[in-house]
Amino acid sequence: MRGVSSLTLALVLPLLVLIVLPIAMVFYGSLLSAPPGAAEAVLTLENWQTVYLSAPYLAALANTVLLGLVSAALSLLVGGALAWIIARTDMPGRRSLALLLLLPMMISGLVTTLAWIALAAPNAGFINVWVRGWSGIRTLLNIYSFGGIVLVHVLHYGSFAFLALFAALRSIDGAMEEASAMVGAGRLRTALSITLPLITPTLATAFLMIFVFVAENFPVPTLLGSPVGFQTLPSLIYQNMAVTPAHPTLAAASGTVLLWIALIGTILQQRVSRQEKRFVTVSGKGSRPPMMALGRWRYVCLGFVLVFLLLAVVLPYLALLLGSFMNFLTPNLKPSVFTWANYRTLWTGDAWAAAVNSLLLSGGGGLVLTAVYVLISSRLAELGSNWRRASDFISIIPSAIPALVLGMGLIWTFVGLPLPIYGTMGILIIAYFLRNLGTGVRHANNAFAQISGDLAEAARINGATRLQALRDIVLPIARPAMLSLWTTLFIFIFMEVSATILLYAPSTRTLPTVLWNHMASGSQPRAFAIAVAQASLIFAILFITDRRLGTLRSNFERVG
Amino acid sequence: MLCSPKPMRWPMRRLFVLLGAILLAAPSWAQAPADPKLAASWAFMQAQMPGVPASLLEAACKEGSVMIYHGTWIDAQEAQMAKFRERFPCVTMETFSADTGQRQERWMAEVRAGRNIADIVQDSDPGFLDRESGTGDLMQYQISNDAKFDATAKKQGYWYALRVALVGIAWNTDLVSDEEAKKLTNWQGITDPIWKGRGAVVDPSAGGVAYLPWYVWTKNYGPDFLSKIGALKPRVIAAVVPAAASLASGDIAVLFNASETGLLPLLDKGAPIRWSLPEPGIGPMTGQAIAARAPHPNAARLYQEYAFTTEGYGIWQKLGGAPARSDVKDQRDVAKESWYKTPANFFPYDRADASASVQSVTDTYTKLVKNAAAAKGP
Repeated sequence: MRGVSSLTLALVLPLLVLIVLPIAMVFYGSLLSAPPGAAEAVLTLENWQTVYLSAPYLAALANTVLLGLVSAALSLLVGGALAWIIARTDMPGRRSLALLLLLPMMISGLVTTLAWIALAAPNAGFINVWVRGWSGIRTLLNIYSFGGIVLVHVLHYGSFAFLALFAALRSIDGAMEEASAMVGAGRLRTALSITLPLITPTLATAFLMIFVFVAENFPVPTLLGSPVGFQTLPSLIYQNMAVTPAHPTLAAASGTVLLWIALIGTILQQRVSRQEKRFVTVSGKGSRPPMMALGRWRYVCLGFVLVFLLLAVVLPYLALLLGSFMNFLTPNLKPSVFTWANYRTLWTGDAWAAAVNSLLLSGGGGLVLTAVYVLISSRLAELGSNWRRASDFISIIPSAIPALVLGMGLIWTFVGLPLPIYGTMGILIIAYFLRNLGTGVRHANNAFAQISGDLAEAARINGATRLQALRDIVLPIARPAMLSLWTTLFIFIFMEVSATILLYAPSTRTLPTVLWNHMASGSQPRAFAIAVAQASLIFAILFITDRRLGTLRSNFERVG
Repeated sequence: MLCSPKPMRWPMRRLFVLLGAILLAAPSWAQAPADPKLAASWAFMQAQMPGVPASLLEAACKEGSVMIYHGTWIDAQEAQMAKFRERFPCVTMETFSADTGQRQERWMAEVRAGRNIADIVQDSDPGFLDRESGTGDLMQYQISNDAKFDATAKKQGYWYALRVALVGIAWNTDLVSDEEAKKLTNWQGITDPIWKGRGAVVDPSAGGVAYLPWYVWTKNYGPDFLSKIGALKPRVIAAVVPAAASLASGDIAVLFNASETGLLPLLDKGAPIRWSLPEPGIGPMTGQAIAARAPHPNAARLYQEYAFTTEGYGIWQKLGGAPARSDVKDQRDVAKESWYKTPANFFPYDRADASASVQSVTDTYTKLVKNAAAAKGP
């Protein structure tokens, strides 16, 4: 730790404790016969034996890995194609469409799944009933299948991949591609030998993060996989918590499994990104990357983007909107099934306070966490590449642990501590900090990795302090990436429910917890109305912040 | 002599002494609260909570709030709380609501750590409430209406049943004819081959009301019954609520283990569904108790009392489920339907055994139903 400033230590050490404590509690809990603190709890390896050696868990692990790999690969393929079309081609309407591509991230996985059940349930899905009406085909789409699960994930995380890769493609120094063209390389060769290596670190990070998101997700595989006997580890974790008496320590042991996979994934990601210096492209003298003229292919690309938007935005939102005006979900659209009641009663009770809390947590909390992740990243840069590599491992751990298990770890940790955190917004902020650590630190690292240290060094040679160099040189260049990080955090925090449902207090109830409770009590159309309101609210806030601060414009203004 | 005042004075004095003694020894519940603002609350208590002292009201008002950990039966809970607020405006209410397993884990973690937040706890697993009363985590408090609950609907002095969550066989009336529906009046009817490819089951791993029928079927009819269900290749649905939604939309025709509480909101909104509640009846109780170390013990006692009065119980029951209190007439709209009939006899089961059998029942179900349903081919 030689040469490490006291500011760095003061920041890094408490955060390390904050990360390590709940994770340690999860591991400790997984080695007990009953939850920590219970009189009957004794140390045992039984949970680990069940999780690591029994056939159902091993099968669930294989399913989880398969689902994660397929979904992440397809999400990158789709998201990458979208990013390339929007960022690097002359397709018409790119700027407007770019904003719409973020919409799939504004509905939670659970709500998207329910919307897709309404659309593509084999016998009564809107699409199937409609197709059956004119073609006679009984079931065109069956959402209860492996393909259905992958579809829902790809439509959701395709957006995430788009956002990550769009920024990477736009920040490439165009001179490199121009040089490649000047020496006679064709478009494909330039793409494979210049562009692809430049965005490979972002590709690796996005692949790992999407894999982790998919692997720890429980609503999608639980709801869509049960009819075909497809179970993932998070499905089993959910069952361990749903069954009475619940098995929280077995759930904790299951939560540790995904950790090893995420750590292996991090090793692979680091191998890909090892020669980070090669990818430094923002050095104060770069040029814009060239735009490709598509000719008649413009409309093929436009068609591709529109089909994605149809599947990821238009159809699920239509299903949500339609469902939110119904008494109950049915493909028999008679006048008697429609009602205003779900909206008339929407803002009664706790929903207002919950909406305010959600806005505070996602807006304010997102801002605080953006600052924290950027600070962590800048401090890690000071500490050197070994610490930055270590941070990749440390930060992935809380993100890889399923939210239900992480929430339990937080309860076990904080409920007994004599600190004024449990039952306040503080514990929710901690939960969101941990849940988004992997994304946040990587996002911030990538932003800083693309900024040459030469710029800050030049400023310091000219007499600027380290803080001045950060404020006047690094932060302005990193501003678009930071605004993009805030945008991602705002959406993720606003949507979070799996950990929040365990940790909220009456005064810190959020909108997704209200939605969840209506869903669980059988009021699916009312939950759909909340989902519509929630997505509208998120979109409105992002639209306003974009107008005022350029949160999205900073990325998209260079389009066209 | 008869007019002599002296002999008269002694009996009068004795009478006054006696009256004084009676007044002093009078039960405290007969005394009205000192604060006139509490008069209306007190009048209600005297009418519906016989024997509950005014001092409880005064102490509850002094505490001023009560924290309720309840399940996802939001409408029933909110309706009851709204009326309680009207009756006892001096006590405010806060709530925490989550699925059963998550709610239990949070509450128990708080209890174990000595950070007591919940005053009132509800649970749809009576076995859990039994265990907790045995470990001293629930307060011993006998409500004034204790006698209105029979032994199966309470653990005397600890928890009382808010409802019976009945399990039945449900069908979509657009997809199942009246003739076919006649087969669904008894449990054996669900094994009829006409339901092949048309039915669905809720996975017992969803817990609570989804689990109990599998336990009862295994105990009552043996594994062969489950094999017959597996042979019908039912769709396996992960939870009670999506299963009811699938039935209402017509995606499935029959739901073999339907929870009435999931069906009722859909029926009320006009969904084309019906259900039968075959004998022996299956229905776990949903109970309510006071946390042993409730931060607001008097407000909690007052709420516990109110929840089981004729008024409080009626309000909750109308939206929450079939009544478990013997003298309360079922106030739900469905009870007025000609086709609706509750079972006369319920399957008698040991709640502790039902809890202890979760793993074995789930394993049998997985082998005979789930795997068979997921297998390809006829």
